Amino acid sequence: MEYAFLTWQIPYIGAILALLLNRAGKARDVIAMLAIFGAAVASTFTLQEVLASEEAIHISYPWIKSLGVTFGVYVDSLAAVMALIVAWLSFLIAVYSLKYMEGDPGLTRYWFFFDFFVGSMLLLILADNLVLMFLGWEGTGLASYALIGHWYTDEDERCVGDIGRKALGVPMWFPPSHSGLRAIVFTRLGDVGFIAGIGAIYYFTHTFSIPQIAHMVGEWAGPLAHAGLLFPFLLIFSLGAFAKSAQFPFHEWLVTAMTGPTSVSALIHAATMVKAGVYFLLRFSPIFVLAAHEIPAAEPQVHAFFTTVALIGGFTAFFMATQALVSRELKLILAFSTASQLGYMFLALGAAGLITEFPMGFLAGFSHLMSHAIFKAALFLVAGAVIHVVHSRYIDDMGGLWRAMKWSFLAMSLAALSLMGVPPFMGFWTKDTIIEVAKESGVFLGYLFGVVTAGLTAFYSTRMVIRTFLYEKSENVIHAEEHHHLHEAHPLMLIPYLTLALISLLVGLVWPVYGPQILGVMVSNVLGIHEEFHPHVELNLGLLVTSLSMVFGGILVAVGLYYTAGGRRALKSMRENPVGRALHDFLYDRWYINSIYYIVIVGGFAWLSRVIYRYFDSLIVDGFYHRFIPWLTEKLSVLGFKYFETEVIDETYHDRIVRLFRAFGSYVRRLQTGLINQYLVTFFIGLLIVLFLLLWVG
Amino acid sequence: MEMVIWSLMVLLGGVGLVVPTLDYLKGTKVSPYLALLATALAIPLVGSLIGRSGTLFDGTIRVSPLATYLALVATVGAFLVTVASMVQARNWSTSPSLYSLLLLALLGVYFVLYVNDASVLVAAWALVAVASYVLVGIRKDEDSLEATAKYALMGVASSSLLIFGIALVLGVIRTSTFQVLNSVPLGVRTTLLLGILMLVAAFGFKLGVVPFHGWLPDVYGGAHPLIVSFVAGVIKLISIGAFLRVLQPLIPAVADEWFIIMAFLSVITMFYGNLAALVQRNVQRMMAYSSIAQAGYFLIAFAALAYADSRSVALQGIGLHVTTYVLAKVGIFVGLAYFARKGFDLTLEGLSGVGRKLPLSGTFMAILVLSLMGMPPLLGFWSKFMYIFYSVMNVAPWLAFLGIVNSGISVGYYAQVIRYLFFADPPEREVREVESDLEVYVLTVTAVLTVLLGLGLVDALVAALS
Repeated sequence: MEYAFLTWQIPYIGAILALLLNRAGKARDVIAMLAIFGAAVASTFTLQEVLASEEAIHISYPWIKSLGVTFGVYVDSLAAVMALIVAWLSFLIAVYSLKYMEGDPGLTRYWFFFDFFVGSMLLLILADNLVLMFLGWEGTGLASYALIGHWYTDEDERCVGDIGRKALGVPMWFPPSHSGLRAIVFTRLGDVGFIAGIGAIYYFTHTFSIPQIAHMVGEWAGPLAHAGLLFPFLLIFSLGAFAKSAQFPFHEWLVTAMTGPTSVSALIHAATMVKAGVYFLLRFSPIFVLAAHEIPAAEPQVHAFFTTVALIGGFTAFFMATQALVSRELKLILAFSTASQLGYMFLALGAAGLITEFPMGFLAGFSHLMSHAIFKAALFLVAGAVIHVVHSRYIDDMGGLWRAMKWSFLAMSLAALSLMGVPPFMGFWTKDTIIEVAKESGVFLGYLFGVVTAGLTAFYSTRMVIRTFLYEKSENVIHAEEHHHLHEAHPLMLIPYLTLALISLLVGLVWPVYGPQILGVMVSNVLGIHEEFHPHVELNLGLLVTSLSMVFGGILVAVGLYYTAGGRRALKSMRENPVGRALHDFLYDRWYINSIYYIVIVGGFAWLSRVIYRYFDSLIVDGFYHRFIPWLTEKLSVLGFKYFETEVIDETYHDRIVRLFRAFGSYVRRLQTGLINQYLVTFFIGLLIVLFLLLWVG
Repeated sequence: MEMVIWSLMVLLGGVGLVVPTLDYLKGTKVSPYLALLATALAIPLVGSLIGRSGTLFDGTIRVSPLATYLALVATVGAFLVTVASMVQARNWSTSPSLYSLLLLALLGVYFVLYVNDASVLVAAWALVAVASYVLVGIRKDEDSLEATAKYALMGVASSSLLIFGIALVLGVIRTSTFQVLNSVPLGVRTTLLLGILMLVAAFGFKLGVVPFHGWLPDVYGGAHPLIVSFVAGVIKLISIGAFLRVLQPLIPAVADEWFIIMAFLSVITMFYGNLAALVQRNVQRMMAYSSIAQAGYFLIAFAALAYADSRSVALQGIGLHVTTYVLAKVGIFVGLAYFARKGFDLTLEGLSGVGRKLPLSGTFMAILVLSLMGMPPLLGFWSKFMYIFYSVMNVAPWLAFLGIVNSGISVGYYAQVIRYLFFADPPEREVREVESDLEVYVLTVTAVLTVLLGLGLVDALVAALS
């Protein structure tokens, strides 16, 4: 049976049904949700099939024959496990959405793009060729654009950032419609690299098929390596992955993507979209390593690529975690945290390419992707429920909610402990392996970032839980309590996130026993990994002490600062201190990078466009025509005067022609067709330029 | 085959010449219907030539599959514009002339596409050119007149270059039919190059190639959007046809120089079009600059024609991208005309929330814009990325890369259009799509074709092209 096809097709069918059932209300929502359930079931069967056959499933049909593009799936253990995670998580988020989005006026649009999103993500995971993968890839981008901008009416409470706040003169608040645009423009920037890379590979191998590309690795990596171009090529090819996974310097879009409904944030951050970039690296890094093994000349360049990935990942982890320290918006803390955790995954995959046992690093990244997907989905879903209850996205308007929302408090605490990497939660095991791999890789800076970030993560997660649930009640909460607005979330919302939080604990508990087995399944037949690998779970004592002391240090500092009277006094004085203030603003305004982008890149482009538009058309051409030519005529007539010293010629030549030229110019200008002479001049000058170019080259 | 050509001449020329006279003199209103009938009948007539090739009329006309394909696209485009005009031009006092010119221009387009002899080229080119100048000014308002004056003045310049260029080229090849020229004596090489260059300028003018583009933003941005849909979607094909028929045979003799000229022009054209489009607030004007950018993409494919191993993909790319382009531009400009008729201002802010008030046309408009952007799996993705950009990958990867970068820049403005159509508050007043809005049908046809062709029929198209 072709379950793999069904896995990605059912959500697309669900999307179309959602559109057709436009007026069906609840039925539409349930059907759209059931489509995701269908995908989840199909993905389970697919995994079963892959495990049973012990070989990758590869089914393909001809599609665009003239290009050799096929319509097919390639499912190895990587794709199967990934599809399983994505489909089941999306299903839980869909169940949550049933209640969370209830009563929204744009539900048809919501469900259409929700299913479309999941279908595209599954397509990009299961596709057997680059073109089909790119199709899914762009589909996720388009759907995210629509979902992030879902509340297009741009009310203040839907924005991200403090209304009115500016950094370096650039506004730091983003309405949904603007955020959607940012998401598509930022990720499209990276896609330019992706599609260029696809073209280059096609040029060398004349195929788009991913397994073919792995087999023919020498044919494309060889010539590139010998030309010294393999390193830039790998970077360009992976540019799309960096952008999609919000790695520095493409991280900005993810932060503002928080303007979407919280269920969408959970979908984007846990299951789809940002994981696409990590998946890309999981899919192709074994092939890159293969290139390094097969072609001696490629080795240093592949090495350089993986070092870059590790450094960017490590830096992103650290850099985004610092911004989470001071953020006041609940969802924004989680967004920073996502980018930071994605940095960990990139660090793992970068390190994987540098160590002798590649599969170990590969599994570190892959398993962290899985554990992050679970706890981050839980965290976002809790955040959605809390924001729903207190009607504010700011943690300043929360506090003391634990009594009213006990189960939510439990879920968030469990998930946050997993995020912090506290044993025995799942996040502990997976994050520790990453730090271990990073240490082994020899990229010391990456390792250092990894360790420091562990402490920062513990701090901001603890701060988040305290400020939301344990801190003294804010006026907003007291007000809500008086009006009996505080309540536990609806079971349809509560059950998904509580389940996820519990899974995160339970899997962690059994990890020492079943971990090797789970990891064994994940790596059992991955494209490009040929050597036998037997995963094992063990703890490195020295490393354990380092990372746990960072984690508990972070927790203690956060508790001390936010949960004791002395700590709050210290916080207050820190805020009043000018240095503390400056540091806070620096972090709060996201290292001013957003402002710099707007000033340099957006401003620069606008400037360039305007210059081209205005000056090329008016100043240069106009200047040429209205200044240079009359001037030239005048000079020529002066010259002429010397040779024809008769009065008639003098008058005609010197006065009349100059006047005629000027008069003609202003006459045509007055005709409203003033620009036509410029156009014609451009026309002929352009022709002359091309002519000269041709004579010069030819 | 001669019969088919004769029938087309009688059908389009006859109806085009007789109908307005009738309408103006007798005061009847039959021209829209007859024009619709004529363009509809022309579709199967042109269709009957599919896959056939041969020379007709003593070698002055040559039928080939690619030319027939382009002619078919042009006919469908003209038919769709005619459909839209039934509502749009209903109250124009000059509407009989509009239909007459539409038909005559379409006839001229066929002859340019099938041209095999210099005399036919000059005659057909003049027919289309003059018809298009009048078409642009047909509304007789200030913007149209300004646009038409500029168009005509620049047209005169380019037509004189056309004559001059043809004279030079014919002097070298010593025959008036366009035949493949594999090599050329060294002494006349410069003459030939000069001739080619003048023809490039003349044809490039119609295509909107920088620096011969000056008129284009004013015409596409200033004339009535319905007229623009015809000028941009149908008439533009003559420049592509002329490139293929007149210049392509000469390329082998001057391959390297040809590549340099095309590559240079394509780079400046793409960058100019895309960057200038970024700052436009008027969507109609933005689409005008987007047309310039698209001309740049065509030039990449023309550049790829220089070498044997990239030629066949490039030809397929041109055919496919013409389809993308015609469907998108006819649909978008008809859509803009529709929005204008519904009382929307054609600026970005003016189009706020149109997609919410007019959901069908808004969605189809978005699909067409996404196709131009190159979003998979729409037709524009295949034609732009997979055929045009990749055609040049073998010979000049850097040019392909610059194309891809430009495509990335273009997202900046295309996404703006979609953002305003959907992610903005619609105006308070009551507007709805009703069944008599023929423009919506045009949008439907163009968008559905764009999706279907992209989903896999693209292969059938490629087969038809080669």
